[in-house]
Amino acid sequence: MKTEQAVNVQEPNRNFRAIDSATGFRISDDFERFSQKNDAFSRSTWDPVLQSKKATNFFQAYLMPHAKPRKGEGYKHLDYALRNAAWHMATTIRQIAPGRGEGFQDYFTTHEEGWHEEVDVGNPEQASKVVKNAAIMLGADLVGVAEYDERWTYQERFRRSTLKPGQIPTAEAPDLPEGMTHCIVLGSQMPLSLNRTVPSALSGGASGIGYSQDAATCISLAQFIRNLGYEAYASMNDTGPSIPYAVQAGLGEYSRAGLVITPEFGSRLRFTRVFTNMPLQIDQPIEFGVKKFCEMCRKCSNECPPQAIAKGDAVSEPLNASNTKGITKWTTNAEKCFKFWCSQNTECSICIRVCPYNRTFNNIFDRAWRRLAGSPLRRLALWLDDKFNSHTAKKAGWWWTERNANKRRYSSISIEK
Amino acid sequence: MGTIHVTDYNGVSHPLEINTGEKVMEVIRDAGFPIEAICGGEGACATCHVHVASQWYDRLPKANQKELDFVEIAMTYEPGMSRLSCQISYTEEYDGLEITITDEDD
Repeated sequence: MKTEQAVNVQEPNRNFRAIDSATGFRISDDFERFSQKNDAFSRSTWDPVLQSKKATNFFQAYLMPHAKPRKGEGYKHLDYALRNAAWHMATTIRQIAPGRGEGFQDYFTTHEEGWHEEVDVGNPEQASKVVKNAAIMLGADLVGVAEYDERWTYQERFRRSTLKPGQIPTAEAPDLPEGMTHCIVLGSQMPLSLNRTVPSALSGGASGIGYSQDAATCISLAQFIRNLGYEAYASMNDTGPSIPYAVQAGLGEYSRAGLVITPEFGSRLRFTRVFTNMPLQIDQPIEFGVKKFCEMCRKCSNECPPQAIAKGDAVSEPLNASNTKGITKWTTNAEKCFKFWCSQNTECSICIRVCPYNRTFNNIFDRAWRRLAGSPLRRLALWLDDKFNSHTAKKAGWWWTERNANKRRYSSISIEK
Repeated sequence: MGTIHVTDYNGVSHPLEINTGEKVMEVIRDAGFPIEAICGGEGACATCHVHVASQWYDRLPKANQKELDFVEIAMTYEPGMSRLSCQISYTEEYDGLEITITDEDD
Protein backbone atom coordinates (compact mmCIF):
# COMPACT_ATOMS: atom_id res chain seq x y z
CA MET A 1 0.00 0.00 0.00
CA LYS A 2 1.31 3.42 -0.83
CA THR A 3 0.21 6.96 -0.29
CA GLU A 4 0.00 9.03 -3.42
CA GLN A 5 -1.27 12.46 -4.21
CA ALA A 6 -4.01 12.31 -6.80
CA VAL A 7 -3.67 14.57 -9.76
CA ASN A 8 -5.87 17.58 -9.33
CA VAL A 9 -8.01 17.99 -12.40
CA GLN A 10 -10.35 20.43 -10.75
CA GLU A 11 -10.55 24.10 -11.56
CA PRO A 12 -10.20 25.98 -8.29
CA ASN A 13 -13.35 27.77 -7.17
CA ARG A 14 -14.64 29.30 -3.97
CA ASN A 15 -15.47 25.84 -2.62
CA PHE A 16 -12.12 24.29 -3.52
CA ARG A 17 -9.78 23.31 -0.69
CA ALA A 18 -6.20 22.08 -1.10
CA ILE A 19 -7.13 18.72 0.43
CA ASP A 20 -9.38 18.02 -2.58
CA SER A 21 -6.29 17.43 -4.70
CA ALA A 22 -5.44 14.47 -2.50
CA THR A 23 -8.93 13.08 -1.91
CA GLY A 24 -10.04 13.39 -5.52
CA PHE A 25 -13.25 15.16 -4.46
CA ARG A 26 -14.44 17.40 -7.28
CA ILE A 27 -16.44 20.17 -5.73
CA SER A 28 -17.91 22.85 -7.93
CA ASP A 29 -18.88 26.45 -7.49
CA ASP A 30 -22.53 25.54 -6.94
CA PHE A 31 -21.72 23.25 -3.99
CA GLU A 32 -24.18 23.54 -1.09
CA ARG A 33 -23.66 22.12 2.35
CA PHE A 34 -26.10 19.30 3.03
CA SER A 35 -29.20 19.93 5.10
CA GLN A 36 -30.03 17.15 7.53
CA LYS A 37 -33.73 17.41 6.84
CA ASN A 38 -32.96 15.97 3.40
CA ASP A 39 -31.43 12.68 4.46
CA ALA A 40 -33.75 9.78 3.68
CA PHE A 41 -34.49 9.05 7.34
CA SER A 42 -35.51 12.62 8.03
CA ARG A 43 -37.48 12.91 4.81
CA SER A 44 -39.51 9.85 5.74
CA THR A 45 -41.04 11.97 8.52
CA TRP A 46 -42.05 14.97 6.41
CA ASP A 47 -41.62 14.33 2.66
CA PRO A 48 -44.55 12.53 0.96
CA VAL A 49 -42.06 10.85 -1.38
CA LEU A 50 -40.72 8.76 1.50
CA GLN A 51 -43.53 8.91 4.05
CA SER A 52 -45.33 5.58 4.37
CA LYS A 53 -46.75 3.15 6.86
CA LYS A 54 -43.80 0.90 6.04
CA ALA A 55 -41.40 3.70 7.04
CA THR A 56 -43.19 4.22 10.34
CA ASN A 57 -43.14 0.48 10.98
CA PHE A 58 -39.44 0.40 10.10
CA PHE A 59 -38.46 2.87 12.83
CA GLN A 60 -40.85 1.50 15.43
CA ALA A 61 -39.56 -2.03 14.94
CA TYR A 62 -36.33 -1.08 16.74
CA LEU A 63 -38.35 -1.15 19.95
CA MET A 64 -39.28 -4.74 20.69
CA PRO A 65 -43.01 -4.30 21.28
CA HIS A 66 -43.29 -3.04 17.70
CA ALA A 67 -40.89 -5.53 16.08
CA LYS A 68 -42.22 -7.66 13.24
CA PRO A 69 -40.92 -11.20 13.78
CA ARG A 70 -42.08 -13.54 11.07
CA LYS A 71 -41.44 -16.96 9.52
CA GLY A 72 -38.54 -16.12 7.21
CA GLU A 73 -35.15 -17.28 8.41
CA GLY A 74 -33.26 -14.30 9.79
CA TYR A 75 -36.49 -12.45 10.63
CA LYS A 76 -37.66 -14.50 13.60
CA HIS A 77 -38.12 -13.34 17.17
CA LEU A 78 -34.58 -14.39 18.10
CA ASP A 79 -33.14 -12.29 15.29
CA TYR A 80 -35.09 -9.15 16.15
CA ALA A 81 -34.25 -9.67 19.82
CA LEU A 82 -30.52 -9.57 19.11
CA ARG A 83 -30.75 -6.76 16.57
CA ASN A 84 -32.71 -4.55 18.92
CA ALA A 85 -30.46 -5.42 21.85
CA ALA A 86 -27.47 -4.38 19.74
CA TRP A 87 -29.14 -1.01 19.13
CA HIS A 88 -30.26 -0.62 22.74
CA MET A 89 -27.33 1.41 24.06
CA ALA A 90 -27.33 3.76 21.08
CA THR A 91 -31.09 4.21 21.54
CA THR A 92 -30.71 4.75 25.28
CA ILE A 93 -28.02 7.40 24.85
CA ARG A 94 -30.05 8.98 22.09
CA GLN A 95 -32.97 9.43 24.48
CA ILE A 96 -30.89 10.43 27.48
CA ALA A 97 -32.60 13.83 27.63
CA PRO A 98 -36.33 14.22 27.00
CA GLY A 99 -37.28 15.26 23.49
CA ARG A 100 -33.75 14.91 22.16
CA GLY A 101 -32.12 12.51 19.71
CA GLU A 102 -28.53 12.71 20.91
CA GLY A 103 -25.93 11.60 18.42
CA PHE A 104 -28.52 11.48 15.65
CA GLN A 105 -30.32 14.83 15.47
CA ASP A 106 -28.91 16.56 18.55
CA TYR A 107 -25.45 16.99 19.97
CA PHE A 108 -24.40 14.97 23.00
CA THR A 109 -25.01 16.53 26.39
CA THR A 110 -23.02 13.86 28.17
CA HIS A 111 -19.72 15.75 28.16
CA GLU A 112 -18.46 16.76 31.57
CA GLU A 113 -16.23 19.66 32.44
CA GLY A 114 -12.62 18.70 31.92
CA TRP A 115 -9.37 20.18 33.17
CA HIS A 116 -9.19 23.93 33.81
CA GLU A 117 -6.15 24.63 31.61
CA GLU A 118 -4.56 23.15 28.52
CA VAL A 119 -2.09 20.38 29.37
CA ASP A 120 1.08 20.14 27.28
CA VAL A 121 1.17 16.77 25.54
CA GLY A 122 3.97 17.66 23.17
CA ASN A 123 3.98 18.94 19.63
CA PRO A 124 1.08 18.22 17.25
CA GLU A 125 2.72 15.00 16.06
CA GLN A 126 3.08 13.75 19.62
CA ALA A 127 -0.41 14.94 20.53
CA SER A 128 -1.88 13.01 17.60
CA LYS A 129 -0.17 9.84 18.77
CA VAL A 130 -1.52 10.37 22.28
CA VAL A 131 -5.04 10.86 20.99
CA LYS A 132 -4.84 7.89 18.61
CA ASN A 133 -3.52 5.61 21.33
CA ALA A 134 -6.38 6.64 23.57
CA ALA A 135 -8.92 6.22 20.78
CA ILE A 136 -7.93 2.63 20.09
CA MET A 137 -7.93 1.81 23.80
CA LEU A 138 -11.38 3.39 24.18
CA GLY A 139 -12.81 1.13 21.48
CA ALA A 140 -12.00 2.48 18.02
CA ASP A 141 -10.71 0.06 15.39
CA LEU A 142 -9.31 2.79 13.19
CA VAL A 143 -8.48 6.44 13.81
CA GLY A 144 -7.23 9.38 11.76
CA VAL A 145 -7.13 13.16 11.98
CA ALA A 146 -8.36 15.73 9.49
CA GLU A 147 -8.53 19.49 9.55
CA TYR A 148 -11.94 20.91 10.39
CA ASP A 149 -13.75 21.51 7.11
CA GLU A 150 -16.89 23.59 7.27
CA ARG A 151 -18.17 22.03 4.04
CA TRP A 152 -19.04 18.88 5.98
CA THR A 153 -21.12 20.58 8.63
CA TYR A 154 -24.85 20.56 7.98
CA GLN A 155 -26.23 23.75 6.58
CA GLU A 156 -29.27 23.11 8.73
CA ARG A 157 -29.95 20.57 11.44
CA PHE A 158 -33.20 18.64 11.72
CA ARG A 159 -35.06 17.81 14.90
CA ARG A 160 -37.56 15.07 14.19
CA SER A 161 -38.89 15.06 17.75
CA THR A 162 -40.38 18.55 17.42
CA LEU A 163 -42.11 17.81 14.14
CA LYS A 164 -45.89 17.87 14.09
CA PRO A 165 -47.96 15.92 11.53
CA GLY A 166 -47.90 17.64 8.16
CA GLN A 167 -45.28 20.16 9.24
CA ILE A 168 -42.18 20.80 7.16
CA PRO A 169 -39.23 20.96 9.56
CA THR A 170 -37.86 24.35 10.43
CA ALA A 171 -34.18 24.96 9.95
CA GLU A 172 -31.86 25.08 12.91
CA ALA A 173 -28.21 26.01 12.86
CA PRO A 174 -25.76 23.23 13.72
CA ASP A 175 -24.64 23.13 17.34
CA LEU A 176 -20.94 22.76 16.70
CA PRO A 177 -19.18 25.65 18.47
CA GLU A 178 -16.85 28.02 16.61
CA GLY A 179 -13.13 27.46 16.87
CA MET A 180 -12.87 23.74 16.20
CA THR A 181 -9.67 23.18 14.26
CA HIS A 182 -9.53 19.39 13.91
CA CYS A 183 -11.78 16.42 13.35
CA ILE A 184 -10.70 13.07 14.76
CA VAL A 185 -12.36 10.33 12.75
CA LEU A 186 -13.03 7.04 14.48
CA GLY A 187 -13.90 3.82 12.68
CA SER A 188 -15.46 0.79 14.31
CA GLN A 189 -15.75 -2.44 12.40
CA MET A 190 -19.02 -4.30 12.09
CA PRO A 191 -18.88 -8.04 12.76
CA LEU A 192 -18.20 -9.99 9.57
CA SER A 193 -20.26 -12.97 10.67
CA LEU A 194 -23.41 -10.88 11.09
CA ASN A 195 -22.78 -9.08 7.82
CA ARG A 196 -22.67 -12.44 6.05
CA THR A 197 -26.33 -13.01 6.98
CA VAL A 198 -27.56 -10.01 4.96
CA PRO A 199 -30.42 -9.81 4.06
CA SER A 200 -31.84 -10.47 7.50
CA ALA A 201 -33.06 -8.63 10.57
CA LEU A 202 -30.26 -10.40 12.40
CA SER A 203 -27.66 -8.63 10.30
CA GLY A 204 -28.99 -5.28 11.51
CA GLY A 205 -27.26 -6.17 14.76
CA ALA A 206 -23.97 -5.35 13.03
CA SER A 207 -24.81 -1.66 12.68
CA GLY A 208 -26.52 -1.65 16.08
CA ILE A 209 -23.33 -2.89 17.70
CA GLY A 210 -21.46 -0.29 15.66
CA TYR A 211 -23.66 2.62 16.77
CA SER A 212 -23.77 1.53 20.41
CA GLN A 213 -20.01 1.12 20.62
CA ASP A 214 -19.42 4.25 18.56
CA ALA A 215 -21.37 6.34 21.02
CA ALA A 216 -19.32 5.08 23.95
CA THR A 217 -16.03 5.48 22.09
CA CYS A 218 -16.51 8.99 20.74
CA ILE A 219 -18.00 10.34 23.96
CA SER A 220 -15.12 8.83 25.94
CA LEU A 221 -12.49 10.21 23.57
CA ALA A 222 -14.05 13.68 23.70
CA GLN A 223 -13.96 13.47 27.48
CA PHE A 224 -10.30 12.39 27.39
CA ILE A 225 -9.42 15.49 25.38
CA ARG A 226 -11.50 17.68 27.70
CA ASN A 227 -9.64 16.14 30.61
CA LEU A 228 -6.49 17.55 29.00
CA GLY A 229 -8.00 21.03 29.03
CA TYR A 230 -9.06 21.34 25.38
CA GLU A 231 -12.50 21.68 23.86
CA ALA A 232 -13.90 18.50 22.34
CA TYR A 233 -17.32 17.46 21.06
CA ALA A 234 -18.34 13.93 20.13
CA SER A 235 -20.49 13.55 17.04
CA MET A 236 -22.23 10.72 15.23
CA ASN A 237 -24.91 11.77 12.71
CA ASP A 238 -25.76 15.08 14.31
CA THR A 239 -23.28 17.50 12.72
CA GLY A 240 -22.77 16.34 9.15
CA PRO A 241 -21.62 13.51 6.90
CA SER A 242 -18.72 11.32 8.08
CA ILE A 243 -17.59 9.93 4.75
CA PRO A 244 -15.67 12.99 3.46
CA TYR A 245 -13.85 13.34 6.76
CA ALA A 246 -12.93 9.63 6.78
CA VAL A 247 -11.33 10.07 3.34
CA GLN A 248 -9.57 13.28 4.34
CA ALA A 249 -8.25 11.63 7.51
CA GLY A 250 -6.65 8.88 5.44
CA LEU A 251 -8.81 6.02 6.65
CA GLY A 252 -9.69 4.83 3.17
CA GLU A 253 -10.89 5.66 -0.32
CA TYR A 254 -14.34 6.66 -1.54
CA SER A 255 -16.07 3.82 -3.37
CA ARG A 256 -18.81 3.20 -5.92
CA ALA A 257 -21.31 2.33 -3.17
CA GLY A 258 -20.77 5.73 -1.56
CA LEU A 259 -18.91 4.17 1.35
CA VAL A 260 -15.28 4.37 2.39
CA ILE A 261 -13.21 1.26 1.70
CA THR A 262 -10.42 0.88 4.21
CA PRO A 263 -7.35 -1.36 3.88
CA GLU A 264 -8.16 -3.07 7.18
CA PHE A 265 -11.92 -3.77 7.03
CA GLY A 266 -13.12 -2.89 3.56
CA SER A 267 -16.31 -0.86 3.94
CA ARG A 268 -17.55 -2.93 6.88
CA LEU A 269 -17.19 -0.22 9.48
CA ARG A 270 -18.92 2.83 10.87
CA PHE A 271 -17.47 6.28 11.48
CA THR A 272 -17.91 8.82 14.23
CA ARG A 273 -16.03 11.99 14.93
CA VAL A 274 -14.65 14.15 17.71
CA PHE A 275 -14.22 17.84 16.95
CA THR A 276 -11.55 19.63 18.96
CA ASN A 277 -9.35 22.70 19.15
CA MET A 278 -6.39 20.60 20.32
CA PRO A 279 -3.38 21.16 18.04
CA LEU A 280 -2.92 17.87 16.17
CA GLN A 281 -0.96 16.62 13.21
CA ILE A 282 -3.32 15.79 10.37
CA ASP A 283 -3.15 12.60 8.31
CA GLN A 284 -2.99 12.51 4.53
CA PRO A 285 -5.53 10.80 2.27
CA ILE A 286 -4.41 7.38 1.07
CA GLU A 287 -4.71 5.65 -2.27
CA PHE A 288 -4.42 1.88 -2.57
CA GLY A 289 -6.26 1.24 -5.81
CA VAL A 290 -9.91 1.34 -4.75
CA LYS A 291 -11.02 3.96 -7.27
CA LYS A 292 -9.67 2.03 -10.23
CA PHE A 293 -11.00 -1.23 -8.82
CA CYS A 294 -14.48 0.26 -8.38
CA GLU A 295 -14.39 1.62 -11.92
CA MET A 296 -14.09 -1.97 -13.12
CA CYS A 297 -16.15 -3.83 -10.51
CA ARG A 298 -19.95 -3.62 -10.42
CA LYS A 299 -20.68 -6.15 -7.70
CA CYS A 300 -22.38 -3.70 -5.33
CA SER A 301 -24.48 -2.09 -8.06
CA ASN A 302 -25.38 -5.42 -9.64
CA GLU A 303 -26.42 -7.01 -6.34
CA CYS A 304 -28.24 -4.01 -4.85
CA PRO A 305 -31.91 -5.12 -4.69
CA PRO A 306 -33.46 -1.73 -5.55
CA GLN A 307 -30.65 -0.84 -7.98
CA ALA A 308 -29.73 2.21 -5.92
CA ILE A 309 -26.00 2.16 -6.69
CA ALA A 310 -24.57 3.76 -9.81
CA LYS A 311 -23.34 1.46 -12.55
CA GLY A 312 -21.81 4.31 -14.50
CA ASP A 313 -19.29 7.05 -13.88
CA ALA A 314 -19.27 9.71 -11.21
CA VAL A 315 -21.86 12.41 -11.84
CA SER A 316 -22.35 15.95 -10.62
CA GLU A 317 -26.13 16.08 -10.81
CA PRO A 318 -28.00 15.05 -7.65
CA LEU A 319 -30.44 12.17 -8.19
CA ASN A 320 -32.84 13.59 -5.63
CA ALA A 321 -33.00 15.82 -2.55
CA SER A 322 -30.96 13.36 -0.50
CA ASN A 323 -27.78 13.98 -2.48
CA THR A 324 -25.35 16.80 -1.78
CA LYS A 325 -25.39 19.41 -4.53
CA GLY A 326 -22.16 20.36 -6.28
CA ILE A 327 -19.97 17.28 -5.86
CA THR A 328 -18.97 15.01 -8.71
CA LYS A 329 -18.96 11.50 -7.30
CA TRP A 330 -20.52 8.08 -7.48
CA THR A 331 -23.95 8.91 -6.17
CA THR A 332 -26.39 6.46 -4.63
CA ASN A 333 -30.14 6.76 -4.77
CA ALA A 334 -31.10 7.05 -1.12
CA GLU A 335 -34.81 7.03 -1.95
CA LYS A 336 -34.60 3.58 -3.52
CA CYS A 337 -32.27 2.33 -0.79
CA PHE A 338 -34.53 3.49 2.04
CA LYS A 339 -37.67 2.11 0.41
CA PHE A 340 -36.05 -1.31 0.25
CA TRP A 341 -35.09 -1.08 3.92
CA CYS A 342 -38.69 -0.30 4.77
CA SER A 343 -40.01 -3.12 2.58
CA GLN A 344 -38.15 -5.70 4.65
CA ASN A 345 -38.58 -3.83 7.94
CA THR A 346 -34.85 -3.74 8.63
CA GLU A 347 -31.57 -2.44 7.32
CA CYS A 348 -29.72 -3.76 4.30
CA SER A 349 -26.00 -3.88 3.69
CA ILE A 350 -25.76 -6.18 0.71
CA CYS A 351 -23.38 -3.68 -0.89
CA ILE A 352 -20.97 -4.27 1.99
CA ARG A 353 -21.38 -8.05 2.00
CA VAL A 354 -20.70 -8.53 -1.70
CA CYS A 355 -17.79 -6.08 -1.93
CA PRO A 356 -14.57 -7.93 -2.84
CA TYR A 357 -12.79 -5.85 -0.17
CA ASN A 358 -15.09 -7.31 2.50
CA ARG A 359 -12.38 -9.43 4.09
CA THR A 360 -10.60 -9.63 7.41
CA PHE A 361 -7.10 -9.03 5.97
CA ASN A 362 -5.74 -10.93 8.96
CA ASN A 363 -4.16 -13.56 6.72
CA ILE A 364 -1.57 -13.54 3.96
CA PHE A 365 -4.08 -14.43 1.25
CA ASP A 366 -6.31 -11.43 1.91
CA ARG A 367 -3.32 -9.13 2.09
CA ALA A 368 -1.91 -10.54 -1.15
CA TRP A 369 -5.34 -10.10 -2.76
CA ARG A 370 -5.45 -6.45 -1.64
CA ARG A 371 -2.07 -5.87 -3.23
CA LEU A 372 -3.24 -7.49 -6.46
CA ALA A 373 -6.49 -5.47 -6.46
CA GLY A 374 -4.44 -2.29 -6.23
CA SER A 375 -2.24 -3.24 -9.16
CA PRO A 376 -2.79 -3.30 -12.93
CA LEU A 377 -3.78 -6.95 -12.40
CA ARG A 378 -7.02 -5.87 -10.72
CA ARG A 379 -9.12 -7.89 -13.18
CA LEU A 380 -7.32 -11.00 -11.98
CA ALA A 381 -8.13 -9.96 -8.41
CA LEU A 382 -11.79 -9.66 -9.32
CA TRP A 383 -11.72 -13.07 -11.00
CA LEU A 384 -10.08 -14.60 -7.95
CA ASP A 385 -12.72 -13.03 -5.76
CA ASP A 386 -15.44 -14.58 -7.91
CA LYS A 387 -13.72 -17.94 -7.84
CA PHE A 388 -12.69 -18.29 -4.23
CA ASN A 389 -14.53 -15.73 -2.12
CA SER A 390 -18.11 -15.59 -3.26
CA HIS A 391 -19.47 -13.44 -0.40
CA THR A 392 -22.70 -15.40 -0.70
CA ALA A 393 -25.28 -14.98 2.02
CA LYS A 394 -25.28 -17.25 5.05
CA LYS A 395 -28.52 -18.16 6.74
CA ALA A 396 -29.32 -17.02 10.25
CA GLY A 397 -29.32 -20.67 11.32
CA TRP A 398 -25.65 -20.83 10.36
CA TRP A 399 -24.94 -17.80 12.53
CA TRP A 400 -26.84 -19.06 15.57
CA THR A 401 -25.69 -22.67 15.55
CA GLU A 402 -23.51 -24.04 12.77
CA ARG A 403 -20.54 -21.67 12.95
CA ASN A 404 -20.07 -22.52 16.64
CA ALA A 405 -21.10 -26.16 16.42
CA ASN A 406 -17.76 -27.55 17.55
CA LYS A 407 -16.94 -24.96 20.15
CA ARG A 408 -16.83 -26.15 23.72
CA ARG A 409 -15.79 -22.88 25.31
CA TYR A 410 -17.24 -19.56 24.29
CA SER A 411 -14.74 -16.72 24.31
CA SER A 412 -13.89 -13.84 22.03
CA ILE A 413 -10.82 -15.85 21.07
CA SER A 414 -12.65 -19.02 20.07
CA ILE A 415 -15.75 -17.46 18.51
CA GLU A 416 -15.18 -15.40 15.41
CA LYS A 417 -17.20 -12.23 15.36
CA MET B 1 -53.63 -16.43 -23.57
CA GLY B 2 -55.17 -17.57 -20.29
CA THR B 3 -56.51 -16.31 -17.01
CA ILE B 4 -55.08 -16.01 -13.53
CA HIS B 5 -57.14 -15.18 -10.45
CA VAL B 6 -55.77 -12.53 -8.13
CA THR B 7 -57.29 -12.10 -4.67
CA ASP B 8 -56.87 -8.62 -3.20
CA TYR B 9 -56.50 -7.43 0.42
CA ASN B 10 -60.27 -7.57 0.86
CA GLY B 11 -60.56 -11.16 -0.27
CA VAL B 12 -62.10 -10.28 -3.63
CA SER B 13 -60.91 -12.39 -6.57
CA HIS B 14 -60.13 -10.67 -9.88
CA PRO B 15 -59.63 -12.58 -13.16
CA LEU B 16 -56.74 -11.21 -15.20
CA GLU B 17 -55.83 -12.14 -18.74
CA ILE B 18 -52.22 -13.15 -19.29
CA ASN B 19 -50.15 -14.18 -22.28
CA THR B 20 -47.69 -17.03 -22.48
CA GLY B 21 -44.24 -15.81 -21.47
CA GLU B 22 -45.52 -12.86 -19.47
CA LYS B 23 -44.40 -12.50 -15.88
CA VAL B 24 -47.20 -12.72 -13.35
CA MET B 25 -45.69 -9.70 -11.56
CA GLU B 26 -46.05 -7.48 -14.63
CA VAL B 27 -49.66 -8.45 -15.19
CA ILE B 28 -50.83 -7.84 -11.63
CA ARG B 29 -48.80 -4.63 -11.33
CA ASP B 30 -50.13 -3.28 -14.62
CA ALA B 31 -53.67 -4.10 -13.46
CA GLY B 32 -53.15 -1.63 -10.64
CA PHE B 33 -52.53 -3.91 -7.71
CA PRO B 34 -50.05 -2.63 -5.08
CA ILE B 35 -46.96 -4.43 -6.35
CA GLU B 36 -43.79 -2.32 -6.09
CA ALA B 37 -41.27 -4.66 -7.75
CA ILE B 38 -38.49 -2.24 -6.89
CA CYS B 39 -35.74 -4.51 -8.22
CA GLY B 40 -37.39 -4.43 -11.63
CA GLY B 41 -38.25 -8.11 -11.75
CA GLU B 42 -34.81 -9.52 -11.04
CA GLY B 43 -35.91 -11.64 -8.09
CA ALA B 44 -33.68 -9.55 -5.88
CA CYS B 45 -36.19 -8.11 -3.43
CA ALA B 46 -39.55 -9.25 -2.15
CA THR B 47 -41.74 -6.36 -3.14
CA CYS B 48 -43.67 -8.50 -5.62
CA HIS B 49 -44.29 -11.23 -3.07
CA VAL B 50 -47.55 -13.20 -3.39
CA HIS B 51 -49.13 -16.26 -1.87
CA VAL B 52 -49.83 -19.04 -4.35
CA ALA B 53 -52.79 -21.31 -3.60
CA SER B 54 -51.51 -24.57 -2.15
CA GLN B 55 -52.99 -26.66 -5.00
CA TRP B 56 -50.90 -24.61 -7.43
CA TYR B 57 -47.69 -24.19 -5.45
CA ASP B 58 -46.15 -27.58 -6.32
CA ARG B 59 -47.20 -27.30 -9.95
CA LEU B 60 -45.04 -24.24 -10.49
CA PRO B 61 -41.34 -24.59 -11.33
CA LYS B 62 -39.29 -24.64 -8.15
CA ALA B 63 -37.77 -21.36 -7.01
CA ASN B 64 -34.07 -20.93 -7.75
CA GLN B 65 -31.61 -20.16 -4.96
CA LYS B 66 -31.75 -16.41 -5.49
CA GLU B 67 -35.53 -16.39 -5.15
CA LEU B 68 -35.31 -18.59 -2.07
CA ASP B 69 -32.84 -16.15 -0.53
CA PHE B 70 -35.14 -13.17 -1.05
CA VAL B 71 -38.64 -14.56 -0.65
CA GLU B 72 -38.06 -15.04 3.08
CA ILE B 73 -37.63 -11.30 3.61
CA ALA B 74 -41.29 -10.71 2.79
CA MET B 75 -43.35 -9.49 5.73
CA THR B 76 -45.98 -12.18 5.10
CA TYR B 77 -43.65 -15.03 4.13
CA GLU B 78 -45.42 -18.35 4.35
CA PRO B 79 -43.56 -21.60 3.54
CA GLY B 80 -45.38 -23.62 0.91
CA MET B 81 -47.23 -20.55 -0.39
CA SER B 82 -44.77 -17.69 -0.86
CA ARG B 83 -43.32 -16.87 -4.26
CA LEU B 84 -41.90 -13.83 -5.99
CA SER B 85 -44.36 -13.12 -8.77
CA CYS B 86 -41.58 -11.79 -11.00
CA GLN B 87 -40.14 -15.29 -11.12
CA ILE B 88 -43.31 -16.92 -12.43
CA SER B 89 -43.56 -16.84 -16.21
CA TYR B 90 -46.96 -17.84 -17.49
CA THR B 91 -47.51 -20.89 -19.66
CA GLU B 92 -50.80 -22.52 -20.64
CA GLU B 93 -50.50 -25.18 -17.96
CA TYR B 94 -50.95 -22.43 -15.36
CA ASP B 95 -54.32 -21.34 -16.73
CA GLY B 96 -56.51 -20.68 -13.69
CA LEU B 97 -53.56 -20.00 -11.35
CA GLU B 98 -54.76 -18.56 -8.05
CA ILE B 99 -52.63 -16.06 -6.16
CA THR B 100 -53.26 -13.70 -3.28
CA ILE B 101 -51.76 -10.24 -2.80
CA THR B 102 -50.66 -9.92 0.81
CA ASP B 103 -50.63 -6.75 2.90
CA GLU B 104 -46.93 -6.16 3.48
CA ASP B 105 -47.64 -3.07 5.60
CA ASP B 106 -48.99 -5.03 8.56
